[in-house]
Amino acid sequence: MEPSILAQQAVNGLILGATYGLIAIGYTMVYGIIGMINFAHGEIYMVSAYLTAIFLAVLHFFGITSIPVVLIVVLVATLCITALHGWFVERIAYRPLRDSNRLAPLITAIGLSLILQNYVRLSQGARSQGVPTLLTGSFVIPAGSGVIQITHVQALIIVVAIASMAVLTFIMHRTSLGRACRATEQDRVMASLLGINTDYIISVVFVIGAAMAAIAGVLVSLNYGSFDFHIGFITGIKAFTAAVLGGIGSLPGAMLGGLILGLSESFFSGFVNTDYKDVFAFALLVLVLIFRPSGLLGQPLVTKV
Amino acid sequence: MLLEVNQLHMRFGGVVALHDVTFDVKWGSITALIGPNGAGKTTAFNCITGFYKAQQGRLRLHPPNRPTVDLVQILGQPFSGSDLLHPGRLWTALGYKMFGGPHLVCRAGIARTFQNVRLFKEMTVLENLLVAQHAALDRHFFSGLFNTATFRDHEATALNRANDLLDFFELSKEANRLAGHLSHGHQRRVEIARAMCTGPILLCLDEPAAGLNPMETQALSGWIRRLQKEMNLTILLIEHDIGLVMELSDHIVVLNHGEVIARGTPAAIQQNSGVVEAYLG
Repeated sequence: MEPSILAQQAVNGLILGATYGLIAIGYTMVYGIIGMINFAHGEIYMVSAYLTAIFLAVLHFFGITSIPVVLIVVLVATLCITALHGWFVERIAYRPLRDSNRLAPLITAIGLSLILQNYVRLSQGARSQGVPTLLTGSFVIPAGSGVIQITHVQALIIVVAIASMAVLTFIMHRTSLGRACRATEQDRVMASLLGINTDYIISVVFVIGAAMAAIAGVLVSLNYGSFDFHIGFITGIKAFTAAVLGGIGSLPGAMLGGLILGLSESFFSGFVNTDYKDVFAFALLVLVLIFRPSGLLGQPLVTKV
Repeated sequence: MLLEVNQLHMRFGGVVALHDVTFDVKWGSITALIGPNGAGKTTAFNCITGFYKAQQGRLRLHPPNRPTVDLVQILGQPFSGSDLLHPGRLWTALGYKMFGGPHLVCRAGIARTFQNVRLFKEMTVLENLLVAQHAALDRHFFSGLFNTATFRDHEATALNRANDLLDFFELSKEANRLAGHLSHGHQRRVEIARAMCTGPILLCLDEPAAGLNPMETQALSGWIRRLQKEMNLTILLIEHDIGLVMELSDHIVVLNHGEVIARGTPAAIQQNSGVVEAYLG
């Protein structure tokens, strides 16, 4: 087999995996702190894709064309508004049902995901939308008899994904906010008896998760250029799979799960069959769960006394 | 008087756990809550520390030099009809409904330990002690991210305080071990140290001597005395070890079937025929 094609597929897989990983962080953090899956998280990602297009249009309207400025402004603005959506989801769908049975918030989250989808469809139209290509160049690396091509957007995805993962790890392990998050994750009641406002911490976790999804949304929109109001569903499911694969509740697990999923999809579609790449991805999940039910980096579930 | 418990009622379904419980905790005293199993001691404790919402009655903390805190109100109460007539009261109730909770009880100055130790087992001993100081720290997202001067300052203060308490409880050697890996006796001490980190005025200890051997109990009794004397702390404790209770406490409240059957000094309690019949035997 041609080594350059192999390497090219690996690069594509890493990029896909990095975006899955970023979205998976939202699932894994929310699961860690309240033990529930946030089914509206995929829609949060979808909202961020639309926001990217909106902010790009707004900046274009004001005649701002400097690419670094546009990128930073769009990233920050999308991140803030998407984070607000994350906060909103927690406030509406989860907090009022904090002490009810576990199924109730699941239903409200699914409901909210439908609401988000349709609110985007009503306000932005049902047709597929697109963003103009901002970065056009690419790095060309010779390999064997062929070349590996990495576009600038793809390089940006890798850099930003690694940077945001590093920042998140730093926050969780080196700041008092992160310490409070970890404490709330282990024993919410005890944390609140020690003076931590756990409602606030849970909101922060939803906001961080949404912000990570927003970063993925901006990057993927810049890379592929087109999206519609449905993209949240399948990407959300994939990211959720990545989170479970890596061990739900574990941050490095989410990133690892994303990368494995991205790589396997990319290799499978490159060398075997594009139509069945999702089948392969989910079959991989099944295999991992049979042999390691708690995921690759997850801790076995211990019953709380 | 530091803590005022007035006509506290609590029921779970058909079971009356607390009925008309009234007692005071004097500032600077060690007050013990005793009684047979199922008498409602822990329920009373849970109401005081914000673990449960008291269904009826008044719980007030009167900290010296600070305004009185209504421990029931700050947990967030359902709105009542009369609130509509007093916009100020409605506003307060709404505020506590939105932002109230057990964390405010802790910030008001009440800290507690549990009968079955509840440490953050996957964090180190030091981290456990730092988490407890969260309310006093610079916990802003960006100050931590950019490692600002205020953030470093606060962290250093917290670290000092944690180290002082570790010294006090002779736990310095265990500082960087995972809390879940310590022996039971050590875990109990870490839990008390952690409660102390929240900067309490009133420390509530739920059976601090449970599962300790006589020597450890003796040492614990010494520490509780020192906490009271050296740190000007008021202590409320539940304990089954009558020897420890008689030795430590200034004031005893006896509960039976959710009702207070006696209050008084240790000597008076020992003479009280009702208490002897119900509990001391």
